[in-house]
Amino acid sequence: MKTYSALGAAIALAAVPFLVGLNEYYLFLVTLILLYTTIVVAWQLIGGYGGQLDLGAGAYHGLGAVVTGFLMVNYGVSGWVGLLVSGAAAAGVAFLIGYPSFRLGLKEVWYALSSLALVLILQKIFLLWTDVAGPLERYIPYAEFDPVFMRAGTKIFYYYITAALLASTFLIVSRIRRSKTGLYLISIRENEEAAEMLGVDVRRYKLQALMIYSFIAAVTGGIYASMVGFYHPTLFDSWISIQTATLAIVGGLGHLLGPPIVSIILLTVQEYLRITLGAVIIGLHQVIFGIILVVIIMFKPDGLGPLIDSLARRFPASVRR
Amino acid sequence: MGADFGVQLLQTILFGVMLGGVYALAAMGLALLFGVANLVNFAHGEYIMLAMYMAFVFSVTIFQDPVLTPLFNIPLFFAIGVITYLGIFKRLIKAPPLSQIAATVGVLVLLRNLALAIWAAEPKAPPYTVFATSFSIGPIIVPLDKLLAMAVSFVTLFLLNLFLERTRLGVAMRASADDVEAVSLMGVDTNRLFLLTTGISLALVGLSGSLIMTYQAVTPTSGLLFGLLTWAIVALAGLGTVKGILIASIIFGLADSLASGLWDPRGREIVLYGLFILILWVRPKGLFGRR
Amino acid sequence: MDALVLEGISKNFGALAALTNVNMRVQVGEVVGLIGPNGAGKTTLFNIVTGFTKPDRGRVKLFGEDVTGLQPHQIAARGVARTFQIVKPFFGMTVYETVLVGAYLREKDEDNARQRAEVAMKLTGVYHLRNRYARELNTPQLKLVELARSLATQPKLLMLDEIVAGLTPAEVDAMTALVKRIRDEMGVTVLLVEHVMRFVMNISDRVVVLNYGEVIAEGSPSEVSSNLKVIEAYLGGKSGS
Repeated sequence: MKTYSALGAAIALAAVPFLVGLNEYYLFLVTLILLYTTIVVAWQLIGGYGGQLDLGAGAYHGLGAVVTGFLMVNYGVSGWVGLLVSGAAAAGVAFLIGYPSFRLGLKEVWYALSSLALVLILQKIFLLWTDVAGPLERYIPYAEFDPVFMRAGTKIFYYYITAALLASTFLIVSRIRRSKTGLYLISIRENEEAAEMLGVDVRRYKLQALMIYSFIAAVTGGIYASMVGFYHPTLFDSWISIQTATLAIVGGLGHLLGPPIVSIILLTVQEYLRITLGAVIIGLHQVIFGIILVVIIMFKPDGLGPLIDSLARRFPASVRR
Repeated sequence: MGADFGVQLLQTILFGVMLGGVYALAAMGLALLFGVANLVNFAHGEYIMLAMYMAFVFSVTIFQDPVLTPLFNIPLFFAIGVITYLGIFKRLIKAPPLSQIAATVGVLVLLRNLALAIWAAEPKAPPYTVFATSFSIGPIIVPLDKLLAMAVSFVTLFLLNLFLERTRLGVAMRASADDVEAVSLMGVDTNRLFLLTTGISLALVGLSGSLIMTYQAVTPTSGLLFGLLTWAIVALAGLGTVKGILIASIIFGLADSLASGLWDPRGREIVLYGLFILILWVRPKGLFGRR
Repeated sequence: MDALVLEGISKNFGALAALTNVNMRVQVGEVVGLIGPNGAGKTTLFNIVTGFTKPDRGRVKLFGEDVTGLQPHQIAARGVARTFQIVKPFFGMTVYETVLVGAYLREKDEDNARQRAEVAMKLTGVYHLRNRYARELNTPQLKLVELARSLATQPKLLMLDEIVAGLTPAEVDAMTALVKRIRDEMGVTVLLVEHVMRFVMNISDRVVVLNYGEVIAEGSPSEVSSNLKVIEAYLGGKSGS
């Protein structure tokens, strides 16, 4: 059963470019949707399991874009290397901010606020740091098709990279969920003191979750920069932070399938609204998106995960019959 | 050179104090709601942004001068507070912090994009007020409108303090900040209490929106800046007293003014939020150990 | 051999002295009851031993090792488990998962951890609840789950903070039998804080009385209950109950 659904998901992911008729613009949109979904899935580690409402996604995503872009532009370093370096850099920043925060017992609203502050601080630092970024967009050298440099004219290249990243992120996260680390993280979310008394090194596990998630968020940023062909400090985007956390919550905190499914659906709806309404009134699509989020959070505080579960239970049964 | 720098420093400090005086009003609204109703309002900054936009709208349509906009903003935002409470906050009062954050982040998304849809991304500034003149004390220039904004803020905070200390309702609010259950056992209708608290909180926001407009224009992302700033002030001050909020606000006003004046206006957020994170590290529980 | 030694422990919260120069010993294999009126500092003492609170003065020694100032998870790693006065369940986890968290402390391998968890659940009688979520359980059940997850860590010293508070007399008797089994069959040393005299006097080898942060008496249950000073402090403090 599990292998079938995995196979189905893989085929679906592989087929998407053909379903959108290999249209470059649509390919760009679906790649974006998968990139943001990847961040949501990775966020589960710190937010869904660890219970820390992290709003730093924009910081790590931006760091990925800037570091990968900087290496590609200034040193001609392959984007693949850039992804790894920027992931490591993001994990390093996560450690620098996470270690004192967790050690000093920052949590709940205060943790959320401090992580959001990080996004804006990094944005301004890179705005002022003109050797690396600065107020002007920096363009990555164009290549028609250079898989080694990780640069291509067609978006399908980035689509498959992103699809592979999403799939591996999902596998990593579901593996961690089933492991001792996942169990420990959930126990921290449920009750820190009780977890600690059972021998859980609360700080260490929170930090681990934060570092893995920030690494993946940075990789999405690097792919993004290479795909659009430039980087800029505005890629330290607080909107990504907020979007990530809300989608994960709407999908169901700590639910494995809910967040990615909900992200893909809602982000698609958002893009659809943007294409149809965005031209009429700028921002209207996000007003509707905002209303959808508020309504779901108000009326389904546990998110849509449980709903998806019950649908999933019904579906195979009707097929078998 | 040295004398020039001295003058500039004094000027910057004056601006900082005046700015902090205005921030205090915005932060007080947050502290009140957080303290009395124990409610985490992540959208607080978005309400400030909305208040700035309304001040802009009233000043270009009805009044032609921003100085009268509080007359509309205060009752309007009290009403918005009542509506928000009945529609959203009421359900959240007893919810865990995570649900409160999630739902109010939803409100944040909604308001921010509503502003974007109506007013687009370009900054909006009100027309000049008749008070937009200045006088000098020696080499120091004192802008009259900003001085007035600070005075209005101080008077409001003074009245709020009287209200909290002298009236039955105010005392109930302070008691609720200490122990909600005890207050409800004393026969106070907490639902009504929280409704009024939300109303007052946002009425303060309405007024502060008008006052902040004397300093800067508004964009849809202003909400994030003022949201983080007011939370930072509350983190430093604790929920204890109006005086605490005032002192913390002036510290942040000074940091803001010094960063912009002596370093780089684009660096002010680095200083303000960096200070915020440091405060959180030093006082991780915030608010004298509450929450 | 001493399981736990407290040397001159003092702790103030502001102007309030929670504990003043407390000296105490728990020998390996003993069941020691800690009693005293509300506010006597019993829970503070538990928090100091388990690392949640740092003492102002004094040392905590576990099995001969000075552990003062260590963090709770480090204390747990040294063989201490505890239950909480107000239960701290993992509401979003099943009973099985909850107990498994404890089992992972000493069993790195998943299969072994599962076996260990099952043993602990069977011993405490919550095995039939293993697939239920903690949020579906009542308080007596939650207390048993808390005991099960503590036992799954394979402790050498088990600290029970008012484990029978709120239980019916029949449940108290069952708990008495259970704690005796834990001591006898698993060789676990037990330190318990309790208000329910029937439980303490039945189960303890030795009783220590705290009052206003000081040890005022200790001895066998019969010695202590006949000690007038204790009756004054304890029963007087509880207005003749």
